[in-house]
Amino acid sequence: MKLTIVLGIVSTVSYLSTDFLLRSFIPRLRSAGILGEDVHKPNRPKIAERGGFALVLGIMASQITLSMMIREIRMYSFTLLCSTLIAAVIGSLDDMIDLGGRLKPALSILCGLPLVTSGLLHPRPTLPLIGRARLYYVYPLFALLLPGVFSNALNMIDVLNGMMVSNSVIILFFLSIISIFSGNYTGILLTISLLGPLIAFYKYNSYPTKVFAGNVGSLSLGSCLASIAILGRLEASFAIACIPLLITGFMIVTSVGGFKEKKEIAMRPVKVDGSLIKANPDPRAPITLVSILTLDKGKDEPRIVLESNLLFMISGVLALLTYFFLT
Amino acid sequence: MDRGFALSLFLILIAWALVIFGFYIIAEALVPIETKDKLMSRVIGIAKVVGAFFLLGILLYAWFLLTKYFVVKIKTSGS
Repeated sequence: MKLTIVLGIVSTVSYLSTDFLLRSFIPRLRSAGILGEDVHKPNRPKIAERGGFALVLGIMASQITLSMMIREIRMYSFTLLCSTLIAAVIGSLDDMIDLGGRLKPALSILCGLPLVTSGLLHPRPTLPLIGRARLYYVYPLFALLLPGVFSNALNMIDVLNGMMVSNSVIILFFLSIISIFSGNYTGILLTISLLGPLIAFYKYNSYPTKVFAGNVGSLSLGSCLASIAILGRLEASFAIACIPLLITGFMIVTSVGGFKEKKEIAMRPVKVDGSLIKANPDPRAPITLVSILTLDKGKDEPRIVLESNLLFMISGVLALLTYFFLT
Repeated sequence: MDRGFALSLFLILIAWALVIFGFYIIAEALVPIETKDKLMSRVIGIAKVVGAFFLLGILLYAWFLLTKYFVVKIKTSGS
């Protein structure tokens, strides 16, 4: 079957299933009292939380449909799903009982186990300036750690309406372009198949949000994206496309002195004044991407999300340039 | 373009150079370990890898300090 038809069917099925699930989940989450405060709005409305369950099920729908249509991708989709589901379990545990700033990253290492044990690892990644490297000893360790590290980094940017999902869509978009140019069949299938559930989730998660992803959503999406980078052999491009995430993750961990939960951080990185968000003027406040973007003046939520999307697009272009001119 | 966005852009460009340099020095340092069997070349290789990670750590920390410097400078000039 033609690749475009397969991807069209997979995207449609996963989009519709995620959309349907969210439509039924949101009222149920609200009536069950699973709500979170949207702290960046003046009246702090209560929003349905843990909508990430629908995203996880949407990703499952996409990978099951893909596996049914293309036999060769089955093992890849299965491994991807295992990694995503382990992250979903850790995320939902954190949503329910709060695992803390140290236990959650430690448990997240489990997300890499399916990749290492699948037998699908190619320890010869294509790196800029070097070409195909031989990393037989180091690569399995990298594959073990990446999903856990990345899922926690993605969790750190899930702070504004639609920010995490729109940024992830941009990352996937550029990875799919690089896969197309390099003729990477697995990369094309895995990246494009994930766009359906993400776009459906964005519809409900964008400003003003109707649902939060929760830790279940952010950790599972992070693990899924990192698994795609490894299974699709897109490691270097992925690292460059995710540079704004690297900034956020590294700056938060360094400026607060280790892995800490939001409530463990005494000083907030930003302050909310009406509908405007501005960096905390205290020089000791933690540094995040949002606080850097709002250093000069207060900005409203959609503007900050738009600027973060622009930064991810620039990183995506840098990933493309690196692929074309330095690899 | 405001200073916050300009600083983010600047940080992205530095991080891009750091990522490429990081991949390069780590992969280059790993070559002796991954390809040669002799004990001595492995020992040298491991020392090179440790050195590469150490250098990268220093560069990343310098990157953090540079960011902090700019952030504090903009905050104090704005208040």
